[in-house]
Amino acid sequence: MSLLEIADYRLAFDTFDGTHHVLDGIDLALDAGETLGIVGETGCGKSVLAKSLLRLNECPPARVVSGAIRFKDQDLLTLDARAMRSLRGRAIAMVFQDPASFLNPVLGIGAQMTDAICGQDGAQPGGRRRSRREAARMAAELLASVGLPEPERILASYPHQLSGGMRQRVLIAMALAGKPALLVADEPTTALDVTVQAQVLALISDLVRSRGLALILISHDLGVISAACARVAVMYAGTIVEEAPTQALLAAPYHPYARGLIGAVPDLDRPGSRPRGIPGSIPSLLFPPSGCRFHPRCPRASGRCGVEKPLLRGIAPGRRVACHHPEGA
Amino acid sequence: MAPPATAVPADGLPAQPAPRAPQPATGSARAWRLALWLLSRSFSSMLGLALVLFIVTLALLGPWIVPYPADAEGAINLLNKLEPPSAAHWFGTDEVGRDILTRVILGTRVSLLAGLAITLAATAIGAPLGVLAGYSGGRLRETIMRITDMFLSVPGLVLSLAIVAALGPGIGNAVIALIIVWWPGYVRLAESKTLAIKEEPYVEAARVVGASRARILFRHVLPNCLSPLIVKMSMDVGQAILAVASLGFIGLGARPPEPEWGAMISVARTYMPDWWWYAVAPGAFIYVSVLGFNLLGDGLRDILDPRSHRG
Amino acid sequence: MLVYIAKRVALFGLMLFGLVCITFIISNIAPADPAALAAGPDASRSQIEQVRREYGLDRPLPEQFARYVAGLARGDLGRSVSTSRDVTSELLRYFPASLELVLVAMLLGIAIGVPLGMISALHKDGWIDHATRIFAVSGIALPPFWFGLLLQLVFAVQMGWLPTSGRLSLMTIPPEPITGMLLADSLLRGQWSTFAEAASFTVLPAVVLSLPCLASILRVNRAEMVEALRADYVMCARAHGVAPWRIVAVHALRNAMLPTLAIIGLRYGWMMSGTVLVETVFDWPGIGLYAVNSAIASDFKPVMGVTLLIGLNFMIANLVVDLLYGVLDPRLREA
Repeated sequence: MSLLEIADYRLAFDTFDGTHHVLDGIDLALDAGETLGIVGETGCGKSVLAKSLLRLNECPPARVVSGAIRFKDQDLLTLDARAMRSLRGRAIAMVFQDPASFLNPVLGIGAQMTDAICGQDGAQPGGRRRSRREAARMAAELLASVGLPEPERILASYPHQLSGGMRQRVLIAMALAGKPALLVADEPTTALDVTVQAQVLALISDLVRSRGLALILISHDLGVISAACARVAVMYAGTIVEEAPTQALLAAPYHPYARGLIGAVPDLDRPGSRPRGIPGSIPSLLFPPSGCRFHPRCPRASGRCGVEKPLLRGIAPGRRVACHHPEGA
Repeated sequence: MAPPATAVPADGLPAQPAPRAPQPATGSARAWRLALWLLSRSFSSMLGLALVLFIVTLALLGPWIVPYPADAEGAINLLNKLEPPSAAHWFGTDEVGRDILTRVILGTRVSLLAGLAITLAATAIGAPLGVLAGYSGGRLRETIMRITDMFLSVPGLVLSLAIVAALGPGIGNAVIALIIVWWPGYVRLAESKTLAIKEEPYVEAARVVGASRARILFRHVLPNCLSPLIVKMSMDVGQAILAVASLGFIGLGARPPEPEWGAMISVARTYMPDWWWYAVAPGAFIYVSVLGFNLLGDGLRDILDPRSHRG
Repeated sequence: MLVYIAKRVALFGLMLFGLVCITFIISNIAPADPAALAAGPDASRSQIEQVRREYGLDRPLPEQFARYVAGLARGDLGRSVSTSRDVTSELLRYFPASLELVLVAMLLGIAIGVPLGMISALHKDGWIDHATRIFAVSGIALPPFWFGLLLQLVFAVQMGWLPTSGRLSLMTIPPEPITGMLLADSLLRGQWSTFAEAASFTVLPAVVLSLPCLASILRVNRAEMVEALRADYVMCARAHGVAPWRIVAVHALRNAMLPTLAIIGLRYGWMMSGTVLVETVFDWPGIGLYAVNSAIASDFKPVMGVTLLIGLNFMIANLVVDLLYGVLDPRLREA
């Protein structure tokens, strides 16, 4: 039994211009303790997908069209608000992109941490309410566990008094407060300085390993994902186009988009080589291309690609691809 | 998307150009349609628009549609004085027998003109000064803004009261006093907007490519100040109408024979409570017109200037 | 923080100077001859000239300004022509009545405006939101003098529930003044029946005065709440399973209250000037009524006195809000 299973999940946003088909039939599964990266360009729907796991997308304008998201065989999409709340932070926790805007500027770190710790106490039937003092002690322990020195001082400070890396550590500590089984990290290093990025990434990897967490790491950066995730799913325009063990994908991608993505990364080992971009731009999700959403930009596209949507199918052990003309096949 | 009617080409053929997907309209046409859509979707904005149109129509057609045109020219009919509302006089008659509805409709023009005059004059004085202050900076800005602050150190109503008390009562002086009270608000708005726009990358870019100062002001800064100005003006016409009526009520604005709403209520007050209907119609018209302009401004703000909402 | 306070206080000083300037300018734009006004309607030409010399009105303007400022510094606002009483002592007599009215109205505005703003933000674009929007705009659009008359008509004349006008009935002996505010004084002296009576007289004018204040508090609070509820940190709190009421009442409201506080400060000053209309309708013996009666009698000194006093109140309220901001916003605390 998988820890998390997403089946044919479709999400649309209704706006003035019409309906944006942001997620178009996502199929993914994740076992306990497994690490999965989701990579794709800005606007491909990866953040929306991450938020979907906690039902954090504002509905409306968002609207679930079809599908299911099962966590331990419980369909998250049909839970009532109270039951959903009791899962947030406790079963699935989330770390966000920009730690500056995801911490409340006018509340102290201590207050926000204790809120995260006591958050679900009220939502659990028969759950015990922790005292503020108990929560504060726990908060200090959590801060120490994410490598922050002087936790007491940090608890007494406000977000603007901390550096970006420290804030992200605070957010990670908050995410760990409910002892979740799955950690969803949405571009956790994007807003940080390069040197801090590596530290935060290492911290996440350590925590995942030592606590046996499952991890979904969202990033536009293949390097980040290859450092932290055993498996990777490539997203393009609201669909998953390829899913594979990370090293296997980097070595030999099947999907032309995945190849393009890898080719667009500058190779530091070969100074003379120039990164190649992917011609064209991300399609409008309002009127997405018919058939395969990548076909207008695809060097391998055929007439069939404009008509028939390729399904994600197994092509090799542990590898799936959604392409009519996969590379090397 | 329906598949094209032509036969599906065999797999492996070179790619056909994809059937052209309909694209969402872009540019200013879309912006206009979006604005109209947002406006029409909001009940309160439509109500505001309807009320404003109603008031403007009355002001334009006033003398031709009133039931008793003679009353406009000072006809006195003491036999009919202070009659309650009836089919002949919907809102009753006043102390000299004039039809109240007639006078209230005629008052629309007085109030609307006063409100527009105050708002337009205040904008004409304040907005250029504000853009100048915001764009030039330095000592000029200091001077303009300190003078502005001086006028903003007292709430408007009291300041206008003091000015009218100095100039002497009358609707002309009331309008002058309210212009004096109103222009600093536009300086503030235009200045802060200009300061913000000055920092925008596209203005920076225009400067870098050597656009002249006048060109930057007219091409970039002014158009971007326009929407908050329009929003503020729409709100202010309503508030100015209310202010004129307030001064009229106190006895410092329009004087009683003039069909001005505030002055009418001031007279009607002396006939309360026995002839209560006298005060109802003029007040209701003030309310309706101020409400209309405010709702409209509110709706426009949501569309044109969604990020500012200080009232 | 000290720099912040110093800046605010300096700005206050600058505004105060501006206020003094503007009252001086207004006094000098009057087309009427101030000497003739001061000498009274029956004065002869030589008497007027004598008054002119006495008051220094024949001096150059800068000197007159210096005298004016010096007078203000001594608390001398001149004399009323019609009552020939000292304006300063008259203001001291009338001000507590206005202050009482404004404070009660402000409490009403906050107590109703903030929760209504929260509720309509939570139901953004729903029917509650539309209803409160029309209610709020009505609060600004209703002419207070007319609305006051209507309330008198319904609640005082028709129903007979509340008194029409004034602060106390003629038969009631007001409590020995401590603050000059009847509600406070009667409470402090333990005169419960007087308190109840004074309260019944306060209801209608306070409601009328508070309406625009309530409306703008509601609007600002709603807009700020909408913004805060959309903010990333609210999503973060939701992701941690924080209870919805706590997200609204603590995480979002804390952020929304800062701008709301600013509007409350502004509105305090505007309500002070609103007393001009409300006190006229309800015969409330405060500075507003004093200003109107003096203005109609072309009695200039009291009008300027009230203008100064209201301006001063307005500026003090803004200073207090600025300083409170410094205390409440952690980002400003160290700035």
